[in-house]
Amino acid sequence: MRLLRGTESDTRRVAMLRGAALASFGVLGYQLWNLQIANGPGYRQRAEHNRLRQITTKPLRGLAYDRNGHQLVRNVPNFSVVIRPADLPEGGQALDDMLQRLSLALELGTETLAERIEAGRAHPYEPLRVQSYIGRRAALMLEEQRHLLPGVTILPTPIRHYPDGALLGHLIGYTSLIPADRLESLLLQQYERDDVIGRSGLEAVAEADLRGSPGRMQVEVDAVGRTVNVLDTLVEAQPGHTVILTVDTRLQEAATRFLQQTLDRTGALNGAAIAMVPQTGEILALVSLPSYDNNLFARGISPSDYQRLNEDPRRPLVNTAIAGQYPPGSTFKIVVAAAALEERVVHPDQKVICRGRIDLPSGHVFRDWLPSGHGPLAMVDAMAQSCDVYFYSVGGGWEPAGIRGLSTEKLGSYAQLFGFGTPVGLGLPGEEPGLIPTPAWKEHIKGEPWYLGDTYNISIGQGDLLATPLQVLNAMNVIANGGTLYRPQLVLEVRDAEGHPRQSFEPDAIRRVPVTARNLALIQQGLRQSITSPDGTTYAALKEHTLTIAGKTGTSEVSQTVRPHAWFVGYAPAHNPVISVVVFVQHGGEGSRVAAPVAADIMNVYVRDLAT
Amino acid sequence: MEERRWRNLDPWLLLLPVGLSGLGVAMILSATNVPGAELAPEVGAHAVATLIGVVLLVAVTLIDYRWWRSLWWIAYLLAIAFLVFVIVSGETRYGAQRWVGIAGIPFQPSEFVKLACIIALARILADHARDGRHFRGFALSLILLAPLLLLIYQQPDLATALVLVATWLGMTLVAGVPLWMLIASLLAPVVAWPLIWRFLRDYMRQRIMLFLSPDSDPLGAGYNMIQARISIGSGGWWGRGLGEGTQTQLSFLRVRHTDFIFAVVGEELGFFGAVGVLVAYAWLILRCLAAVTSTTDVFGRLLATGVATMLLFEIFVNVGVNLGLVPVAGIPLPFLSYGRSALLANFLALGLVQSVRLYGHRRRYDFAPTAQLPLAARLRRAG
Repeated sequence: MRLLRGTESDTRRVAMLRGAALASFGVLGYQLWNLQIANGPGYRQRAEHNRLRQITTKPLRGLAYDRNGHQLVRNVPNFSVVIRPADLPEGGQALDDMLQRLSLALELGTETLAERIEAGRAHPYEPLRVQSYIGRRAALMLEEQRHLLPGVTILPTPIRHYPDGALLGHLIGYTSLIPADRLESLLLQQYERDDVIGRSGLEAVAEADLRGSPGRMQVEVDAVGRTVNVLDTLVEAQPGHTVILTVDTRLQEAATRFLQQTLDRTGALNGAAIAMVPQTGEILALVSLPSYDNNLFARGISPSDYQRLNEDPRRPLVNTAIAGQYPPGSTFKIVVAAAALEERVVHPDQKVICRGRIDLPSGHVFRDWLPSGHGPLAMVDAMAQSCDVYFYSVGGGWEPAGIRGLSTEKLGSYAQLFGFGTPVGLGLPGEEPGLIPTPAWKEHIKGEPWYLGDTYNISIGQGDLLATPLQVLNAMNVIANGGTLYRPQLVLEVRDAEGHPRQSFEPDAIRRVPVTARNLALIQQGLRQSITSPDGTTYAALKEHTLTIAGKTGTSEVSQTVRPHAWFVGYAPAHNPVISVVVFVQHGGEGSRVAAPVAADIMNVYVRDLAT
Repeated sequence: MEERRWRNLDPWLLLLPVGLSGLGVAMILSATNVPGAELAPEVGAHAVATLIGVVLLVAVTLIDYRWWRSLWWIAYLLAIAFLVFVIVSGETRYGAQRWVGIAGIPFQPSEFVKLACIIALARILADHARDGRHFRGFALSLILLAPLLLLIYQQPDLATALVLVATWLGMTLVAGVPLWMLIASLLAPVVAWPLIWRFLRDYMRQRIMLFLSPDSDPLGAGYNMIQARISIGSGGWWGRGLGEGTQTQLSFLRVRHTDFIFAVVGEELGFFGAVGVLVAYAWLILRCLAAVTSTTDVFGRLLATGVATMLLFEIFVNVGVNLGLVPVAGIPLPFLSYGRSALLANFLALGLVQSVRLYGHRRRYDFAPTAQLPLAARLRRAG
C-alpha cells in the first residue's frame, strides 16, 4: 500500500509537470497570437520598411559638340564606391574587415578610408562617395564581395573625357564632387552628397542643361543595403541635354598654335586670344595660354598635380582671356575717339600738332610713344598712327591745341557704354570686371587726389585703367558691327537627348552704343589705315596680308623695368567683318610686332579656310 | 511476451523527432538560401545528422536503459572530463569555449553532458526515493550537479547551466522530493539575487538588460530580438511562404538557421505553421511524460522525466527568445535548429525514453506476478 500511495503521489507530480508543460505552450501560443494576429499588420509594415527603399537614379550627364559637330565631351563608363553610412557596421571587427577589403581593392590606406567614412556618419541616410572612378578591375573585385561589404554600393559613374584636353581646357572646364561651401544650397535643388557638379568652363556655365534630372526607383534591399530587386520606377531619370558650342575647334587649334609660337618666340609667360563673330557675340575661339588638361580634374586631380598647376608662375589655371586684367593701352583709344567725336570735343578734321610731348604747367611731361612726334594730324590719322598727344588732348584737354577735352566723367561713362568696368557676362566662372578709375575711387583706394595726368593716362588706356582681353574685343565689336554691344556667348544650341532643339542661339544685345554711323565710319577708317597707311602702326607688320584687316595695336606700359604688354584687336574683312580677334601677350613687347601678326594669322585662317 | 513488448513502443517518440528534423532541414534550407549560390552545407549536414540520429535512437532504444543505472558514474566522470577538456583546450566560438574537436569533427560536449547529468541524477534520486530519504537524495543530487554547473559556467555558458538546473528541478519534482525543498531552492536565488548579479559575466547582464528594453539599441545587440519579432509578426495567419519571407531571405533576421529558426517558421509558415510546430512539441513532451507513467521503475521514470524537462525548457526558452518573452540565450530549438551535437544528443535522449517504454514494462511483470492481478490492474489505471 505504501508503494501505491507513493505512486499516486508520484503521478500527481507528473501531472504537475504536465500542467507546467501545457501552461508553457499556452504562454507561447498566446504570444504567437499576439505578434502574428493581433499586431501582425504592424509588424508586416515594419518588415516592409526594412526591405523597401527609394533610391535616386543618377542621370547621364549631357554631351557637348562644337559648331561643326566635333565631339568635345565623352562619358566613359567607370565606377565609384558609394556608401550609405546607416548600413555600415557600427565598428569593431566587422568594420575593420570591411575597411581591409575596400583598402585592398582600392589601393587606399585604411586610415584614409576610415576618415572618409567617419565624415559621412553625420548624415547616415545620405550617400557618400568614398572613392571615385575606381576602374573596372576594382569594381569587379568589390562586386564579387558585395555580401561582405554592408552599406557599400558600386555605382556606375561615367567619367568625363575631354578628347581635346588642354586645347579647350579653360573653355570646357571640368566637374567635381560638390564643394563643401555649396553643398547646403545644392541639396535643396535635388542634388545629393555624392553628385558631381560643373566647376569650371562650360561644365559650370551649362550645368543646368548638362545635368539632366535624377529619377526615383522603389527597390528591395537586403539587410546590408544591397539592392536585390528593382520593384518600380517612380520617376525616370532624364539624361542631360546636349550642348553645342559656338566654338570652332579648328580655329581654336590654329589660334592656340599661333599664340604658342609667339609665346615661345618672345619668352612671354602667358597670353590670350579670342575670336568672335562681331555681329552676334558668338565666341569662335577662346585661348588662354598656358592651358591645362582638364582630364586631370575629371579623374579627381591629385594634390601634387594641383599644387604644380597652382604654383606655376605662368598661372595655367587662370583663364587670362576673361580673368586677366591689364591696362588695355592704345586699344582703348577707339572708346576715347568715339566719345570725343560724339561729345564734339574735337572736329574730325581738326588737327593737333604732335611734337612728341606735352609739358604741363605743373612740370610733368607726358610723352608720345614716338619721341620725334607725329606732326599735325586729325582723327583718322591719329587713330592710324595711335598718336598719344592727340588722345591726351581730346581726353584731358590741351590748351595749346585749343581742345578743352572730355571730362573724366565722360570718359568713364563711354568706357561703361563699351562694356568696360563690368564683367561682360559670358558666364564662365572667374570672369573679371576690369576697372574704370574715377576720382572717388582714387581718393578712396589710394588716398590721393585726381590729377589731369590721370585723365591723360586713361585717354591712352594706361594708368589705373584695367580691362580683360574679352572686354577689349567686345568693345571693338561695337565699332565693327555698327554700334551694338553684344553679350558674348558660348552656347550655340541646346538639344535634348533625343535631339529635339531646346534652345537656339539668339544674339543678346546689351545696348545700342550712342555713336553715329558717321563717327563710327571715321574710327573704322582710322583702324583700317593703321594697316594700309605707311605711317600706320601695323603697316610694317601686316602689309603683306592680302586680307583687309582693320585693327588697333596696344602696347601697355606697366613699368620701366619690364617689357610692355602686347595687344592687338581688330576685325576682317574691313568692310564686312565676319570675324573679330583680340590677341594679348603679357609682357610680350610691342603690340604691332608681337600681337598683330598672331591676330592676322587667326583671321586669315578663318576667312580663307573656315568661314562658311 | 516478446511480441507484446514491442507493442509498448511509442511510435510518436520516433515520428515526432523525425518530422521536426525534416521540417528543420526545410527551414535551414530557406534560412541559408542565397539566390544563385550552391546549397549551403548546413542543409545536408542536418539531414545526415537526422539519419544518424534515427540510428542512434533505435540503438539506444534496444539497449536496456537499466544498463545506464550501473554505468552512471562512468557517464558522470566522462562529463566532468569533457568539460575540463573544453576549458583546457576548447575552441572559442561566439565568445565562449564550447567546442572541442574529436577526430576533426567539432562538437559541443555540453550537449552530451546533459544526458550524462540526467542519468546520474536519475540514479541518485531513484536510490533515495525508494526508501523515502528524500532530503539525502536532494542534497546528493545537488552535490552531483554543482561541479557540472561550475565547469559550464566557466565556459561561460549560462544557458546550458540553466537547462541543467531546470532538468534537475523537474527530476526532483517527480522523484517526490518534498515541495518545500523545491520551493526553498527556487527562492534561494531570488533572495540571493543581488549577490548573483555581482557574479554574472558582463555579457549575461547585458542580455538581461537588453531583454528588458530591446529598442534601446536597435542596431546593436537588440537588433536580433527586434528583427525576430518583426519576422514572426509579419507572418500573419498563413505566413509568407517557404523561401518567401523577406526578413529571412534578405538577411534582416540574423543567426536565423540556429537560434532564430523559429522566427523563420513564424515568418514563412505563419500562425498556423508555428502553432503546428508548438503542438508537435507539446505532444512530444506529453509522450515523454506518458513514458514516465508507463513504468513503476523509479530510475526509468526519472530518466524520462529528465528528458521531458530538458526538452520542455529548451523549447520554452528558445521559442520564448524568438517571441521576445525571454532574454536572449544561446539555446537551440530541439530538432529544428541547425547544430549536429544538439540534434544527436536529442535523438539519444529520446532513445532513452523509448528504452524506458520498451523495458520499463518488463519490470512490472517481474515484480507483479499474475497472482497479484488486482494490484497490477490498479497500477495500470494509475498509469
